[in-house]
Formats: sequence, C-alpha cells, structure tokens
Amino acid sequence: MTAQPRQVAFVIDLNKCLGCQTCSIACKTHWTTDQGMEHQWWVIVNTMPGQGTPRGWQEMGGGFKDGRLAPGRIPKREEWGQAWEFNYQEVLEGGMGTQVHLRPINPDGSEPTWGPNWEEDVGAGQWPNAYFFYLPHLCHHCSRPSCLYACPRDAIYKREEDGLVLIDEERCNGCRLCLEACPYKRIYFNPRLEVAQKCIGCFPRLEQGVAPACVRQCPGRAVWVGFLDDQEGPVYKLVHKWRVALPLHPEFGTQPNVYYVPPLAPHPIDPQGNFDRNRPRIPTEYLRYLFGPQVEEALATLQRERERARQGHPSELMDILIAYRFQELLGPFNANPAQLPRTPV
Amino acid sequence: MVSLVVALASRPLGELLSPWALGWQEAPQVVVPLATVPLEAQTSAYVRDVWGERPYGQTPEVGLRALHDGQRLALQLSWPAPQRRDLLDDDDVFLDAACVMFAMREDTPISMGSPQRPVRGWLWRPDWPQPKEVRATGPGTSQRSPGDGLEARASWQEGRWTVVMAGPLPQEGLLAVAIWRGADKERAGLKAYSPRWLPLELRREGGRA
Repeated sequence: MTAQPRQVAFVIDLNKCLGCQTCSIACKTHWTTDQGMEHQWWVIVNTMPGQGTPRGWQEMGGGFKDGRLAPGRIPKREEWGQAWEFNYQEVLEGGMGTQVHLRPINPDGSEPTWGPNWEEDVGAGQWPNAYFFYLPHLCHHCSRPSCLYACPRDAIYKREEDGLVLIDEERCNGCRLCLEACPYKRIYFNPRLEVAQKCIGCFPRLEQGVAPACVRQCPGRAVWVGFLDDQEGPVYKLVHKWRVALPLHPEFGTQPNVYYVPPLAPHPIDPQGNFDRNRPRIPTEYLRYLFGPQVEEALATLQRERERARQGHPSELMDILIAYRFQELLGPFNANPAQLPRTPV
Repeated sequence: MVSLVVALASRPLGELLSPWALGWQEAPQVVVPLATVPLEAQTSAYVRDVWGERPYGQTPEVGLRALHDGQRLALQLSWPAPQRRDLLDDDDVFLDAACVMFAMREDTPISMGSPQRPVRGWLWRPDWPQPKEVRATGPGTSQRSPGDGLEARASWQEGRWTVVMAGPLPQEGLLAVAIWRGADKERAGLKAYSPRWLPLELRREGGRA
C-alpha cells in the first residue's frame, strides 16, 4: 500500500512574533555550528518593511513566471552578511575596556556594512505613525520547489511522508543552481564543503514526534506546525477554514508551505492626536505585496473575530491564535525531547 | 579520423609537469573544436528554462598534447580563458575547470556515459592541489573522489590556460574534454565539450611523432 503524500506546514502569527530571534538561535545551535556554516541562519527574523536577509532578496528572481522557471541570481556574501568576530581580546583582556567599544569585525578584518539582522526595528513611516513587524523566514518546503527543478543531479528531493524538501549533501556538487532558482533565497552555500545547505525542517526531530526547534522554542507561541490535511488541527483551520494564514509572495509560484497571519497594527494617529479609524497604519498595499490579494480578506476576518471576542462572544479563531495551551502549537509532534531515550554519542 | 598521438617521452615524465617543459615539443598538438552542451541535454529544468538567454559553453577549442612513459600519461591542455577565475571568493563566483574523460568503447555516450558504458576521468580546478577522479554513468551522475596518483600544474598567461595533468596510463583508448569558463558562471552541464570521442594512439617507440 502506498501512503498518500502528506505535507507538513508551518503557520507564523506576525501579530505575536516579538522578534526575539529565539527561533534563529534554537536553529543555529542545533544545525549550523560547523565550519563553513558560520554565516548560515536557516531561520532568521527580519524587521519589515526592510531589505531582509539576504539584502534585497525579494527582488533577486527565481521561482516561476508564466509557467516557466524564472531567472534568479545568487546572493553575494556581503548581501547575506558575514559571520562577524568581535574585539573581545582588545576590550576584555587588552586593558582597553575604558577606551574602546566592543565592535563587530568581518572575517577579512573590515568593518561590517551589513548583517543578517542589520535593519532591526527600523521599519517605515514617520512618528507618531511609524510601523514595523517581524518576519521569521525559513525554507518554505514548497509543494512546487524551484530548487528541486534546478538541481541537475537529483540531489534535492521532497519527502512523501511529510513534504519536507531536503538536499542530499553526498550528491550535491555545489553548483548553486538551487540558490539561483529559490525565490525566497533560503538556501546557503557552504564554501568549505562546497555544498548547498538549508533548513531541514528538523526532520530528525519530526521522525521522533518532536516539533522543529524553531516551533518548540518560540516564547511567543507564534508558530504552529502540523499536517496541512489534518482538518482538526490548527494549521488546517488557520490556512483553509479561517483563511487568515497566507503564503509569502504567492506570485513566486512555488506553493510554499510556510503561512503567515498578517499583522494588524493600531490605527494611525491623526493631526489632532486621535486614532484615524479609516486608515490602516501598515499600508495595505505593502501587505498585498507580501501576501497577495487575499490579505484584505484575512485582515478583515482577523478584525471581525477580534471584535467578537472583545465583546465576549466565543471565537474559535481567536482561541486558536491565543494558543492557551503550548501543546496546541505542536500538532502531532508533541513529544517532549527531554523524555526521549538517548543513545550516548 | 583525428586521433591524439601519445608519444613516448624521451625524458622523465615528472619533468613534463611544467606546462612549459621543453619535452612537450616532442608531442604533436591536436586542436579539438568544442561545442556548447545544448539546452535540451541539460538535466536541470531551470537551466533549460532560463539559460537560453545567457551565454555559456563559449570556449571554442582546446589544444591537446600527450606523452607517456609506459606507466603514466601526461596530458597538456591549452585553451582560451580571457578572464581567469581561480579563487572561490564569493558565493556567485565559479572557477575555471577542465575535465578529461576516458571511455573504452566508441558507443559510449559522450554525455557522461551510461549505466552500461561508465566513464571516468580527471577533473582539474585551479584551486585544488591535485585533480580529482570522476566517475559517471550518465548526465548528472558524476561522483568525485580524491585523485590518488594524479598530479597537475597550470599556468594562465595572456588569456590562456595551459594545464598539465598526469596520472596512471589509462586502459581506455578514447578521450573527451570539457572546459568550464568560470567568468561565464559555467558549472555542471553548463560547459563546452568535445562532441566526439578522440582515439588515443599510443606510440611505443621514441622519437618525434
């Protein structure tokens, strides 16, 4: 009997993400500590509006256009941001602590002009109507992965059992066509091993019933994981039933499986100092650019249900988004990693 | 039919590793015209959809000379590379490279062999201390391994690479060449190649061929 292919999906509530980078660090310490991976952040939280990581990725091409794979380009190392060193020696041990500030230094000794979180909290707009929100960004484990179509060696594959898109590093020859073709620019090049590397969906954890590190570690309860076809699960309900969780840049055409609940911000303040309830603070046009035309309906649903809950009415949507119980975020991957049997290394 | 004469070297093969060694004058040069690996032969759907708009596989020809000493084969390759790429200093940088591929039989597909007709070869890159051994059973299947017993020296002057690769004298009698031009971001199937097998004609006696 052949099992139906299933798809694991992520939902990230941008109203709850607090930009703490705990997901980034959880992933970093799990997977990207080896040499050649210093610059890699398989999940990274960027302040939006902003240029993101790598800088300007949204305009680098890739994905599909008019039914064909679309031209893309490979980000340069400077656009990713390099793995900085710090002048700890000078400040902490060199007796210069009162004269010299701790500062980042590029591997080549130069002063950084960019980094993976360079634009933290910059955002857009003018006081008192400035705005920003955080966008956690990982591999989208697309249903139509352009990276997979780019690989000339069948080194990239999509798993039947969970839809994760993985790179076989034994087969990868480091040609980087996948970096060109990925429109989300979520694939890194390891210059030491000369292979492409990216988020693996924490598959060794999933296989033991444990949620990915970025999900389980999120202190804001902002990330859900689960099977997209599980009609009783929050992922299905947020994506398909309530239709408030949307793919990022759906026009890229890769059918991504990371979904975002778009941000509602307080209304802007008018010259008299009152809330202007006729205008959104975050321009809807910008959210449409990120999440496509469905965003207006999603925002309207969020606003309507939030209002219902405020008035004391029950709202399944608000209950899901609040996530009263931490376990609700984990879907079927609710095993506690601390209680798993461990084989000594 | 053009073949590559593999002359018997009159001096130790180790002396011929320098691309400019005088001994290379003993070996006649064959200039092999190269072709672009066509889009339809590319195993990457992305390349087929996108790279038709981008120039690749533009290296027009490679000059070949070959010498042996009964044990080892030395090959001198020389080809135009107007812009040298020999340092992998950014993620969008690709390096110049050359591969010589050996096959036993004429019916071996020139596009990296097949499961029934495997090929193997020597892959040179300017930043590697020695060439790597490559084995393949078709397009997109090549596997690299350390090039035990392989040596190379290279020189880039006035827009040309001249590379000498040496290794155990192959059993195979046919040779093909692929050249990657890093400046055009060539890698994988994006390359220029010799579209026909070139027979190796081993000379057992010394003297100028």
